[in-house]
Amino acid sequence: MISIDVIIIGGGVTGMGILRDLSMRGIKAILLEQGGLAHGTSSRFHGLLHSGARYSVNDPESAKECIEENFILRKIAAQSIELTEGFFVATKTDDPNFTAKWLEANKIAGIDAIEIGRKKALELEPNLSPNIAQVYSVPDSSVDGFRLVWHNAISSRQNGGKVLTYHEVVSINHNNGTVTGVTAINKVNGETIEFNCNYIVNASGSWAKEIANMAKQDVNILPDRGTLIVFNHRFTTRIINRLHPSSDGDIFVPHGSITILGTTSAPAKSPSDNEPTTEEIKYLLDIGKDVFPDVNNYRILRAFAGTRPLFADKGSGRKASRNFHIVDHNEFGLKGMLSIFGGKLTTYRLMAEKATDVVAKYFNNTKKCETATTPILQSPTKNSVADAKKYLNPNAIKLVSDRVGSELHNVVKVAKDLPSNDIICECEMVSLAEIKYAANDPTTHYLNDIRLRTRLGMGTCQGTFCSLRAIAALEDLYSNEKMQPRDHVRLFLQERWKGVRPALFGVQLKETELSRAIYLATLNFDGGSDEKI
Amino acid sequence: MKKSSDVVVVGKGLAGLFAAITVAKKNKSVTLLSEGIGSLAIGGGAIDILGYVNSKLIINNPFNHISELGNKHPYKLIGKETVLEAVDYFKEITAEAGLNFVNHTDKNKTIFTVIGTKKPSFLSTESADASVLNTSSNILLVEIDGIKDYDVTLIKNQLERDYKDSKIIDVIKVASPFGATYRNVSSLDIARYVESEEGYKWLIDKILSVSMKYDLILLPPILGVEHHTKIYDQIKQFTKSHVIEMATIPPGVTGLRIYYALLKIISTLPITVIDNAKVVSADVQNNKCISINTGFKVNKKEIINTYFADNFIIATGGFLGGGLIATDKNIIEPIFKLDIKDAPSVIERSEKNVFADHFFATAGVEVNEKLKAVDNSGHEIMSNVYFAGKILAHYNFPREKSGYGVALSSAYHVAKIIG
Repeated sequence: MISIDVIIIGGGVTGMGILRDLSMRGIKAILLEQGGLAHGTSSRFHGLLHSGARYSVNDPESAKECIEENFILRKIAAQSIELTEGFFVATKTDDPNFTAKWLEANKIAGIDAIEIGRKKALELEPNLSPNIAQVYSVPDSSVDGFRLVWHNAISSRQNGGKVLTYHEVVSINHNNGTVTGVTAINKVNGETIEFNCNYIVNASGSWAKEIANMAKQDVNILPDRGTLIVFNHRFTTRIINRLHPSSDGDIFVPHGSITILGTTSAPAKSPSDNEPTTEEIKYLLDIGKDVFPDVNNYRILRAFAGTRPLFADKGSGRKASRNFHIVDHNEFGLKGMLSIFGGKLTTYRLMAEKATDVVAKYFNNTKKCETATTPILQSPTKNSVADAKKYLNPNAIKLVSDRVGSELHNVVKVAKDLPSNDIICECEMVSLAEIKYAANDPTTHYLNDIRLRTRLGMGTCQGTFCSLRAIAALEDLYSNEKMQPRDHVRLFLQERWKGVRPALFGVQLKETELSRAIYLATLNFDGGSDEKI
Repeated sequence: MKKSSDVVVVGKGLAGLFAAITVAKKNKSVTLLSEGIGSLAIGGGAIDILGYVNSKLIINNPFNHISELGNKHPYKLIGKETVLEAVDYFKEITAEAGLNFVNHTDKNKTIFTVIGTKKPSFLSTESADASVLNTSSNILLVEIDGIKDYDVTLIKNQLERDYKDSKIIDVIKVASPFGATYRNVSSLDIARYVESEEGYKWLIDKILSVSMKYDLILLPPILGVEHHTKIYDQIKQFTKSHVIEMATIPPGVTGLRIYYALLKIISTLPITVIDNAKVVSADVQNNKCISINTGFKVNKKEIINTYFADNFIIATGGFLGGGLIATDKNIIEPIFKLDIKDAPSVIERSEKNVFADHFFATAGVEVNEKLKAVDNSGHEIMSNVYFAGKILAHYNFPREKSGYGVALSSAYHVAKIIG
């Protein structure tokens, strides 16, 4: 039995933002996540930090929130954001009348849209179609959703918050119309754990309805499925949006060493409806070629899908509001619980602030919200960077500093104890020390958790080479658990497989054959664990 | 029309090399065309015949399980006797090149890998036979500083988990013979070094001299490349311990040993080897292949070279080698534009479980018992074109552990038919 003031359900960016805000205001909270961190939508989207220009015409309120939060996040979450800027590109077939409407709406929302000459745009982004008509630049950026969650988790812990991953909530307990706690199952060891609490925050995103139903409550949410494609290189330096009413397949986002093309929009069958299809891939490519004519010739690494937890009062899919929504269940007969859903990753901090305000009021806590001005993680100090240069690959320092921020000295501490600190993942320059550092975190249980923390296996080789090297670094994980190294690799390959299957043609099929030759033919990963050879 | 040679072989993997040798040994001239180096440079060096049938592990004689395979499996088409002959002939050819392969008389052996897993295989150099692992009680793991993709802690812990602490497992740390280097050292670098006088002395002084008390010494594959057997025999004179090399991921030192051994034999035979030759098309008339054409571009102009022969052996591999090409719509064999029949939609090419028997894994050219391509009704499409190795349909080499076995026996089979 564990007693705490607040239980937060959901380890996505919203839940983690709330944990950080509560912890900074001195309210004791534990966050429970059914999978690894950012298991849901926070790691299953395009990674676009919206300027708001995408919503300015149809959803001006969202647009305004986006531009304000965009500039706040640039300050407080610098390590998770790459300041790419964004282009809005109109093709010759797009309605030229829309542009005037769009420019006017941007002005009202406070979004700077600057016209870039067609010729200049093609100089800056030479892979763009020569058939483009107009180009405007806006303050879009790319954001690493996982890193944002992870850094919020580190900051929360620094302020006294606690995070438990692989803990699935199975019941919400209440007595006489007041919340008393939750029951959760630790999915790693199968144990059932009771938590006593005075307040429950349901920040479970697409699962919000399921969680609310456990307390005999309801929320008006319609998970909407979106599919995206990952290409193996950056064919654009900036984010490229289509200058037309928001639609499918009209966003290209460069990220690390890859580019993402998204998205589709269709009702989700379930919150975990995340298997992309070949039809969706072909559909996206077909639309994408209007802007990047060679898109069919680029190598696809994989595809993935996520579900948007949309608030369903105005309609579904593209029509649904991108606004967020807070339900205080006190209004519906249950004291001590709120649900928060809708919104965008871009506005997560604002969502967290508003939800935390409700909780703080419940506890008569009057401390002000400081998340808009306090950086989530500090940058590493000059001394720790200088120290890092002795133990880490000098070319990787910038990347590592962004991944771990002020925790850099802890990575260096691990590196100092190693005889040598080799680069394990060449695509993303991840060293052995960084992998061991991530593995030592209490929220890490599987190779997949390491992947999301470090971007290991997310580049060109998709883990074919580096996951083998990484499992050697994870010996600490095996001692107290039943999983053996080969089980971690199997799980890792199975997770990646979901996104490879619908794109199993061209170069991706070649890569798959190579990976099967190594993993199955040479190393016999598919052989039984208990075989006596 | 001038004939280039009696036979044209396309592909320089194990199937292509072995087919070229077997044909040339029958006094036929051969042109061997290849686009790249082939799979031996990345593959392991053990000749798997059959390690699993229907996911069931085979410990005893793999040849006796050929009868359990589906009727279209290449082994079934080739026949057990020919598979056995091919293996013997491979042993003979490699021995001629100074690389000795051995097998247990009637059972599979165990290969031990650098991640601590084991694999059933049939034929290997003596250095790769880890069957003694079960009976060894004092084991030494050799760590060489800076070798990538090789972590002794992982191997040691896995051995301790598997053998429940019933063995003494020690680790010896050896400095890289190259000192500090700009790039990581690979097993291949060390294996080449060990072939020099200085390198051999390093091996003896730094590793073998200090390991006398162990029954078994486990190493990455560093015991030479082109002179492996000679080095291994010398070591056996020096130490009574078993010295075993573990299987690693690319670069494939043990695969390269086979590659160099076969090239050595090729240099003694009437075989013309043409590298960087991408076959782009073929001229087929009245169900007979007249020529095969390679193409490359110079200043946007395509230069075509044409190779005429009586018979053609296509050993261009699977998807990785370019023997098969998959688009989102279909799967084809690109030289003769053969459609891979019944190719399903993209998603149906694979199963949800990553380790399942996927369609794409067994996709390939449909052939008859002579390994000539057939159409839907089973009729031969071309009378003088034979297919060997991974391009063949109906076998799943990563799951069955049958890759080099099918490569060797299909190559040998077609060479015998042509010869």
